[in-house]
Formats: sequence, C-alpha cells, structure tokens
Amino acid sequence: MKKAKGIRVLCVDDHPIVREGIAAMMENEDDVVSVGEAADGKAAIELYRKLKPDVVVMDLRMPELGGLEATIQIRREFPAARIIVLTTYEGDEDIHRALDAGARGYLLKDSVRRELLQSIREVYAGQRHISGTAATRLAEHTPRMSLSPRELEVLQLIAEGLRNKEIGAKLDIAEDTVKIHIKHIFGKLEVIDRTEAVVAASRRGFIRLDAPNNPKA
Amino acid sequence: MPESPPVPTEQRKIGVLVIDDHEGMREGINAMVNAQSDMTVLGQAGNGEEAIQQFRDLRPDISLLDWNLPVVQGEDVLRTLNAEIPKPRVIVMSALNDVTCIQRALSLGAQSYLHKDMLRRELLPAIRAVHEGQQYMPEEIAGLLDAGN
Repeated sequence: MKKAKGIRVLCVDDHPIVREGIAAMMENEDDVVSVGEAADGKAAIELYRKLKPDVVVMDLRMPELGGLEATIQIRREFPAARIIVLTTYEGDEDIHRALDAGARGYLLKDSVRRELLQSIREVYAGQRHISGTAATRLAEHTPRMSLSPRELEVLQLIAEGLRNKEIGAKLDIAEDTVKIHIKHIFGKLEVIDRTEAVVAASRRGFIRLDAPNNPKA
Repeated sequence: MPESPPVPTEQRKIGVLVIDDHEGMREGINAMVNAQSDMTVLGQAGNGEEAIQQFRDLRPDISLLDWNLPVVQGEDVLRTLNAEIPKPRVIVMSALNDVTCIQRALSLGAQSYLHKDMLRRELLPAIRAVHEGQQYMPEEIAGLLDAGN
C-alpha cells in the first residue's frame, strides 16, 4: 500500500540497482516515501520540476550531467530545494564544492545504510547533514585548496597568452617544469584546458584579468 | 537401499556473499537476490579486508565482487580467495567497461564480469550459471573482449 504522507524523496543515481537499494531502505519507514527516480542530472532537473519533492538524494558522479551541476541548476530554479549528494570521499574540496553548490547534505556511499534516513529527516527539517568521516575532516580545519605562489605566476602568464616555452623563459624554469605546474593547476581547479583554468581562477579571485596587459585581449 | 528423501529446497539455496563499498548497491543486490526462491544473501562486506574474512567465515557458493574496493582492491581479494580454495566462484562487478580489467579478472579465475549498469538484467542469470559451474559473459562484455583481442 502506498504511503499517503511522508517526506517525499527523489532518488538520482545512474545505477538502477542503487536506486532500488535506496528505495528499499525507505520502504519500511512511515515518514519517508520515494516519489521518483532519475538516472542522470538532466532527468533529475526535469523530474524535480514535475514532482517538487521535499528532498533529493543525488549521486555526484553521473554521465551526461553530474550531480554537482544538477544541484546548481535545481537550486537556481528552486532556491529552497533540499539536496543530499551521495559520493565516495575524494577530498575536502569535494565537500566544499557540494556545499557551495547548495547541497544541504553530503552522504558517503559506505555510510548510506546507516545515515540515509537520518540525513533525509535532518535535511527536511532544515538542517545540514555531513557524513561522519567527512564531517571529521572538515572539523579538523583542513584548509581549502590554494595555488602556490609559483602556480599563481604560471597561471597569470597563461592568462597573458604566453606559451609554455615563453613561461619557462620568463620564470627561468624548464619547460617541463612549467608543464608540471600546469598539470597541478588544472587538477586543483578541476579544469581541462588553459581557457577554463583562466576563467576558473579569475572567478575564484586567484588572478586578475587585466585587459590592457593581456596581448590576447 | 531406499533412496533418501530429496533435500528440501530451503537447504539448497545458493548462498551469496556481496562485496561492494557502496551500501546502496549492496542493499539493491540484497533485495534482488533475497526475492528469489533459489538464492539468499549470506553476508556482505564493504571492503577487501572484510570480504576475505566474510569469505572464510561463510564459505559462500558465489561471491559478488566489486573490482574497485577500498583497503584491499578487488583484484587482490580475488587472488586471496584463489589461495583459500581451488576455483572459488566469483562474479566481478565493475562500473568500468575496461578491457584490461575484464581480462585481468578472467585471468584470475572470475567466472563472470558484469558492468554495474547491467546488474538488473544479468545478475540473477549470472549467479545461476556460475553456480552450475559455467562461465557467464554478457554479449556486451564478450564484444569488448573480442574487440580488444
């Protein structure tokens, strides 16, 4: 028999079995009911508009549109949306990004059984829920990612349009060393090319795009 | 000499050990397996170390093994299981369709390799086939192997 009342939950994960597993966890609860499922971020957004669930449980890593971008888009359209992201722990920046995107909950995949229902109830009540291990790491005051002074120099020169060889000459370092710095920069900013790196760094305030000094402008 | 009565079906259920760090995945598999009359989940493990211990304690008929595990990787678990008993019946599950991983798993004695997206369709037939001593390779996986050779 379908539950008439309860916290209405939309589950988003690209693995059907995981969605079934999560639905199974909610089945015996009187105050929680699964109202829909989606297999990727795009479907999640469309279903959110249609169902307006109370809480969304969403995998971060999905094909097509991932959980982070879907969270951003849903929250943009529905600022009150309550979203719990589900992920494997991959570092503090992951938590920060999820929370910055507007997620109210951060649930680790190896704690789902223990924490799913508690996280749904807490987030529905307006609180945040961060999985134990992740919360401990945040509480240990792990500083957010920053770029080293050298990385900032390299990034600034990329923004000015210099090639790797030119950057190496300017900073008096080998071209291979420049490439290593760029690899680190891309990793920290989570981008895949120079343009994205410059945009991301500028957005975060790491560098300034000063048009008169930028030969490519 | 009179024949002994047939063993009640209840006692012949295929005993399954589920090894995956994602609790949602384990719950989904548990629900699927336990809904069948011919199989049952004996236990679960969330990492490689637990998997080996559970295997030793439970001696399952079939182990469902996530290839990408924390603490001790799936590949290393499989090696250890091979050392525990000859030809343990293992079905490898993975989120990757990587030919190298598939080949590696099969070379270490896995009887089946299933991508996690195909579990709903392939898991139960795979469990039954491997329990019968057969190898079970979905078309898509077989195709990847052929293309990789």
